Amino acid sequence: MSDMTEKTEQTLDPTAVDVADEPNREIKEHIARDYEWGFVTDIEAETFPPGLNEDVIRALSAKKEEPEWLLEWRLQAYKSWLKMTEPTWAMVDYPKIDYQAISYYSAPKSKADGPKSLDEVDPELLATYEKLGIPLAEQKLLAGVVGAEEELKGVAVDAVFDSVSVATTYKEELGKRGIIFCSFSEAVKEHPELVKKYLGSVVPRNDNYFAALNSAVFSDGSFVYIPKGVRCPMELSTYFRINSADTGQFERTLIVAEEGSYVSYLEGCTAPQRDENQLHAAVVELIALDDAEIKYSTVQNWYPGDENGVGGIYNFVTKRGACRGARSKISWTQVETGSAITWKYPSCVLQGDDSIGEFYSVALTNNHQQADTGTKMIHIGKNTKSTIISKGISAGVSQNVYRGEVKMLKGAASARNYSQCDSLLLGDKCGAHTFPYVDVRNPSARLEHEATTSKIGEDQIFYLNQRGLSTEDAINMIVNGFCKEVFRELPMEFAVEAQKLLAVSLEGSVG
Amino acid sequence: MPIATAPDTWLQSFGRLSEERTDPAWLSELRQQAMHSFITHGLPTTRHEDWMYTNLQPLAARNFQRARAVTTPAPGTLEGHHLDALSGPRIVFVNGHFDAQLTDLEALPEGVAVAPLEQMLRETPERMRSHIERLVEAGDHPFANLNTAFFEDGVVIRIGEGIEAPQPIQVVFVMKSWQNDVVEHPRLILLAEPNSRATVVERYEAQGPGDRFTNAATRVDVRAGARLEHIRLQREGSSSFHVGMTHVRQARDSSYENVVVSLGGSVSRHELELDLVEPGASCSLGGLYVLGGKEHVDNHTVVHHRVPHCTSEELYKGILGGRSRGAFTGRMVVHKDAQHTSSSQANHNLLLSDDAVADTRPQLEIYADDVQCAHGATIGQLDEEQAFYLRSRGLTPMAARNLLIHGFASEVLETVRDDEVRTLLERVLESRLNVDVT
Repeated sequence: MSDMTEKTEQTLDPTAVDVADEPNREIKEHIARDYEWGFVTDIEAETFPPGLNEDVIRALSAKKEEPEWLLEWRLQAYKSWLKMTEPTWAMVDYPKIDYQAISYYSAPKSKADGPKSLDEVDPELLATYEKLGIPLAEQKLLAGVVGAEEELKGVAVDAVFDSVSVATTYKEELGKRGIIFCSFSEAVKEHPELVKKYLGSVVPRNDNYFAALNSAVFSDGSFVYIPKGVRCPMELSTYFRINSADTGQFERTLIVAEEGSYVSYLEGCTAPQRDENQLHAAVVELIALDDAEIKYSTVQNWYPGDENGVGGIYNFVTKRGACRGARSKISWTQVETGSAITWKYPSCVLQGDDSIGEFYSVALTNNHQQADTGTKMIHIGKNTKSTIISKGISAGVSQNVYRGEVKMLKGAASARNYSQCDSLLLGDKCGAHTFPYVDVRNPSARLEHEATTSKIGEDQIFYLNQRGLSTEDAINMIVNGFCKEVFRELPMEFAVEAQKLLAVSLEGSVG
Repeated sequence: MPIATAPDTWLQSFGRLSEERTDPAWLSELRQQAMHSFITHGLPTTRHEDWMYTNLQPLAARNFQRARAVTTPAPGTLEGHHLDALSGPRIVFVNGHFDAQLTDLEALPEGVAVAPLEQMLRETPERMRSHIERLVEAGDHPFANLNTAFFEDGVVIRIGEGIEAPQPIQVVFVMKSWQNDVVEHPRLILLAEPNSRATVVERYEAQGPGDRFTNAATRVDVRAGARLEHIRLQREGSSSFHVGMTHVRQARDSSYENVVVSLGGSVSRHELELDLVEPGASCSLGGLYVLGGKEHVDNHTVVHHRVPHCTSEELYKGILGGRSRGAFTGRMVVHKDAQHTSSSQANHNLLLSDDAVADTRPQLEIYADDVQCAHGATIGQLDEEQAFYLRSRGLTPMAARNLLIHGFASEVLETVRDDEVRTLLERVLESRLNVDVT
């Protein structure tokens, strides 16, 4: 591997990541770092040449200074990946991915080559920020303008919150309670016993094609550990993680909630997120022990491609939570508006008796976007309960699929499921599809599934028109009402932003 | 990898059939093609989306032989099948061959023609051609291919324009054999000419011991303004194999009402595919499957809304006891220009035992925006409180249970318009519940 350059230190100055706590500012900092306009990539010195083989994985693992067992784990995953074929059952259509054309390691980008001021940024993007109500300083940060961070620091200090102290206080407070919240690479170094114990225990490394790929080449991600009986005092978000550098395109998240603990975790952000990596294959694993509860919220707004369907992110994600303990609970809430293709089924394996799984989802597709998303609820323990609320909105010429499975195994006595999947069609060229799969093997289990598909009633729009609302506002209002049951589950600030986000994403679909 | 069938057995059997028959050239060629396709593709495994709930291995493992005509079955031998429960005309096939003795077409009204397919093929082969070829158009279906290659007889029913048939027309297929592993491949053609009205009952019965395989294909054309009620009753015993494929094409303002009552089998699959090709067509699909033992039923329905202003309604109900498994897949496809479609779909299941399994997949696939579509599915067990209430009124546990099940099933049976047919189905359900569904 002589053509690979020597490794670099990735440690970052903690103060480099200080942004205010204000909701609107809760915009991922790593977006700014990754940000490069469009999909043009300068091959920097710190990037592997494209291609995937065992040597690349060894080099990657060496760069990250990983222990032998993890390298072995990656190689095993790679071996099973080679034997697998890309799944074709999802209702998505995309050109064949050349896995040898992807570079599997890229060091954090330097920011010096970003735009020098907002004037150099695409006006369309700025208009979007405007609509989302993002302050100017933050717009610069998001758009990757050089020097924006320093500027923002100043703003933040002037503002109500002192973000430096906020971040530090958080660190301290979490540490005091024994909560571990760090990057995956750090966790491998600092807490190898925990990582070794839980990694791949929910999503095995050979679970599916994309999970196997991720297991072989995952770049970085987050690790959360909540000790026994601890209630995490704040919403955790990748944003607050001090060294949240580049998580890259193969992100890996592992959250472990010990007995009686609680954590709420936020992922993603509402501002349009640009990334030069077209393929994203992340894996998220959640483990809840006795009486523990994990709440995982996602707002996904990756670049969806332009109006003609050119470009855009392929988002192939495996997310699964295991309710291992009795009375444990895992709740997934997602607002999916971005990505050219979304292939994502956050699932719950309800092993513990009386455990609860929840899935709340809003998936909006516009233009040429394709989404095949839903959930899986596997009931194993007694008295397990699951709730699925899915709202699909299709506009433009997009295709929006709900695909969900509810399985109640023989031992799942008195298990209960309620599923509701509603679709809203805006326009006559888009598609909305509902494919539930239900398999029940216990007579005392009860299951209900309901789905409806309809368009916005002309009478509803007329009513709002005559109350003085423009047609566009009327549609936004109706769409938000349609999604209310899901937004209710989001942390408050996120919910407000999610509403705005829908309005922006729907733009141009009215006519 | 598909499941390999026993190609030698099928090919030998096909060779013998070709020697025996004097088919027109186009039909021989069609059969050749279908046979070739069947042998090359084999049977799908459970990894195939359309077959994920049904394992065809037990069927593929058998060496099925063509069922032979039975010479002069005494009429009494068909007792217990409630053949005369319906007073209207009936046409009967034994082992897939027309049986003149059991057939009674005296009550056939003017303008309604019922004839064995074999006879029609002999007399007017060209007129049959488009009807027979149409099944092939439906795609490369392994069992459709098998039927095309092997069908020997079947029925052609034509309800003349504007004719109203007052009584239901019965088509009965009885498998009667003392040997194992026999197969019949009946082919049915139903034509409801414009503005006609009729009820057709398609029945599959069996007699005597032995494992049998029925592989039936039905082609239905409902022309403009016609109204056709089509009942399919399948009860060939718990060791039988049954595959039934029904393809329906509906013209302007036609109405088609289908009810499938299936009392199980070792592997039993009911496919129903509807094409609503002209505006104003409406259909209602009902299904009831009552299983016990190790029985397996897989219902597979697809409704294509291809044009605006059509409606479809679907209600399937499963009652599952023993170690049985009941599966339902319903697809509603609203094509791009099919605005103003109204569609609803529901599948409800009752699990009566710890070992029964219910699978349900109601699917909506929608490419038009001005539509009202809904689907629903439930799986549960009998309500303890309701059973307790009935028992406190003096009913035995069995009677209370049967009453509740009957109530559950009646939602489907009530949709049957013809009184005689409904009564027959209720009797069939009752005798089934009393005997072996626990």
